[in-house]
Amino acid sequence: MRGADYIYLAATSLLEKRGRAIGAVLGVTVAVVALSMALGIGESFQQAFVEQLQRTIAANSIIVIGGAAGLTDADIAYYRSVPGVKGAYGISIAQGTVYTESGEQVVQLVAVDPAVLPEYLGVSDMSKALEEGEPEPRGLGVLVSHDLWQDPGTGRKTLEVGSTLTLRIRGGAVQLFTIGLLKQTGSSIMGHGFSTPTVFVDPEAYYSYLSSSRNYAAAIILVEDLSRLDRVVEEVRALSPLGSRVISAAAMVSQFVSMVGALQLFIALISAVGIGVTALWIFDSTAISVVQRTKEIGILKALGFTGSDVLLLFILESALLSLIGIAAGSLLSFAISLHARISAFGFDLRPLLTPHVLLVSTLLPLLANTLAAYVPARRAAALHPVEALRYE
Amino acid sequence: MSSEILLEDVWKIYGKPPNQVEAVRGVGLSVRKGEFLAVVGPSGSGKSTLLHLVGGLDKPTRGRIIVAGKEISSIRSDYELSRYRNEVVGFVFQLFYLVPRLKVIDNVALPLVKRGLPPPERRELALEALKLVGLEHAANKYPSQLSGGEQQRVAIARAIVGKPRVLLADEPTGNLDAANSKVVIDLFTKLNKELGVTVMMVTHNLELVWHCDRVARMHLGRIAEIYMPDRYEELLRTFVKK
Repeated sequence: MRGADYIYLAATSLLEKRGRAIGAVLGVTVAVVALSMALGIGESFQQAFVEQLQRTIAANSIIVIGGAAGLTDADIAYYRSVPGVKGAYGISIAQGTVYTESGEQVVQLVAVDPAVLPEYLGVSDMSKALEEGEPEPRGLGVLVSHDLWQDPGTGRKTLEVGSTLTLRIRGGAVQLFTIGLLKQTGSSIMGHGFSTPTVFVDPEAYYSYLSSSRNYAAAIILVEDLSRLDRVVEEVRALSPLGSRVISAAAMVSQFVSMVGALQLFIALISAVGIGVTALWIFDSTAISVVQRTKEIGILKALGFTGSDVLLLFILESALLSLIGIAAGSLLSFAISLHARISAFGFDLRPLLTPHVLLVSTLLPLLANTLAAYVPARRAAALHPVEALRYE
Repeated sequence: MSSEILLEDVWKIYGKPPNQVEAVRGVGLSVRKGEFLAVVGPSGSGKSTLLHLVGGLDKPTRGRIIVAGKEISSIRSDYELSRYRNEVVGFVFQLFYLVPRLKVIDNVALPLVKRGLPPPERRELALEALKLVGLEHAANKYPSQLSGGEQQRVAIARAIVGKPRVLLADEPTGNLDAANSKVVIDLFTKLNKELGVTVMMVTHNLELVWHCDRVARMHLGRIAEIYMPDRYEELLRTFVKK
């Protein structure tokens, strides 16, 4: 028997029971839209968050946040000795006050090697973070964060490149020069954001003029070979002082992806209720159809159709309904995804219909409906021809 | 002349002791190729069951059934038995059993659909069969648009479209008036005489036996007697008496 004939016979049957068929198609359409939207939003959230995370933390960097005692030069040297490590740099953070046109302001002083300043700021190179001036702090020349050189209230510039800045720290005062103005960025790898105005200072100048001891709040470790990242993380963890936290971009991303994956699965399960209801509808509709067409099954068998032919005909009916519903649902989802926007967790999310989302939201209803139709279709296939013909 | 249908000690028992019913009890019968056999008898005598056994719609409890040289009683696979029903026999039932949602031509072509014939070839053969029963003009109508007699002629066209060697008819005129019954039996006669199709017809309508070569009278699951045309008068008298 030709495939086209199976489809033709199944289609004529659907036309005959068009009321129930339309109901089932609508059910599948709604189920596909619900599932693809749920998965699409999840996908979009995951992608946006991972991008943000990757922007903030370079993939080849490992961050060590020192415990109460912080990190020493010896710790940094140990990190450098780990095979696969390209470099390790200490970061010192202190708090002070500066005087600008906006008045006295509490600032965070960050001393980080200019070589890893882009990693610290979560940019690929300094041109992406610099608004004006020099890209690296030098001597007493410092870079200042956006909310320090621009009044957040009025938007007026309170500092220019070349402006002097008086910093009070640990009871003393130091005259600094503004040589670079930074753009407004999201947050740094340290997670402190820039809610506190920040001044980036050359480490050498920091330890000469502002701090008597070389003690670091954190360290950035750059890994040479990403394939060795996990091993390097393990070794760094083993070398770090008690109470330290070792964070790698890859580990954070992977942890987050699995968290979002679980969330997506939960949302998908809720959306799958629609698929379950539609599958029940298909089961019921096929079961009714088998009873109503018992004599027809008998005559088909008398004419030479096998049990498998009958099985396939009923399953095809369900598959055709599902495919029509899937096509309609996918088109509707596509249309919705072009216009729908959801703001959540600081992201502007648009349902992302990735191949993975489309595959799951189309195959799942098809599979569920086929399975639902299989049970009554199997009963139809097993009908004895004489009993079917005599059925009243 | 060779046997087109051969039954040897065929039994069909339904249920299990002590509630079993012996619908067919040790029937032995031979139908020649090209013969027109009528099977008569009271309701419950096993006529339809015998026809279903010959048509491969049911399996005998024991005994051998050989049709067109093939022992169908030993076929176990659904595929083989379905193929036998599709290629060797054609069925005509009392209630026509047309598929209401399909056009007349599509109903007639159903056995050819199963054979996987391409649509143009199917259409040609179906039209040919419809022409033979005088209904080529109704090809694109639906069964509900036809009279009972016409529907039965469509069912006959469907039974013969695949050019079967054996035509099995179960009360083909049971639902028809006298005029339509005559049209139907004339068609069977034509198929039998002109195309050489072997016909086995179960009927209550004794007037039809005049068209048949032989009549087998069944009683309580057995063939009680075989009648040749010279004893048809006696058969009719006997049944009228009863």
